[in-house]
Amino acid sequence: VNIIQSTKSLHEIIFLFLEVGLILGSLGVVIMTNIVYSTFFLMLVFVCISFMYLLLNVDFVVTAQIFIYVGAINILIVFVIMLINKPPSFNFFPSWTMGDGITCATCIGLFFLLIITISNTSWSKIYLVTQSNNIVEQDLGRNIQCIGYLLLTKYFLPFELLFIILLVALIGAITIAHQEKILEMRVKIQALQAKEDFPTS
Amino acid sequence: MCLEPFFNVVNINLVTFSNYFNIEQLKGEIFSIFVITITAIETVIGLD
Repeated sequence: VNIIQSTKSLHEIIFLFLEVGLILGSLGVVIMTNIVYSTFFLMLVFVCISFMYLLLNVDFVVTAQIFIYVGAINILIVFVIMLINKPPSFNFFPSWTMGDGITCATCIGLFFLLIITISNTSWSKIYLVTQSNNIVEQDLGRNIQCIGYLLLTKYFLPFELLFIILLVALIGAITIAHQEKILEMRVKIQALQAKEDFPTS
Repeated sequence: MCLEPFFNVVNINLVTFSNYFNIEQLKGEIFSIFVITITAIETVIGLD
């Protein structure tokens, strides 16, 4: 019994640390005026969320989170920031407009509504699980094999739709990049023509 | 850059409640994988 209690308390301590890291990281993402620092706080948030998945015992989502969010999306954002090269603004208290006030009030209201709802719901009395034991639950167990099996049988149609969305995104990205190149070429050609029309003596 | 935490929140909700209610069905994990893919697409298109 002692061991169980100690592991439970350890679980709670780790969870508390992750929560604090998440909240501070999210605040840093929003508040930081330098966009590079904001990106690194975003990385902290993603790593904290992946550890939270580890506590929830879902292996595959942990790997996907670390590989895709930390490895791909964050690096992409860093690259884009380096390409944009916008000078950092040191205006800590920007002027509030009407829309900012409305958004702030809505967010605070939503926050308190959620807090009230969560504290009023009796979580231990919820039984959404209908006791149907004839689920696709062979000897595969709860692991990556089972996820792959379900993706290719029960959730095959959304999986295929995902392929189509990826293809559309690929074509869209190529089109946007290509259009910028064409515009650059047109500007250059116009400049050359202007030079030919009015040659500097 | 502030849109990714929203998707992450959705993912956490999906995984947590699928763990809480029905641990055998893995529905939440599969939908969270879909959400991760959509987020990647959104980042690529939005940052162009």
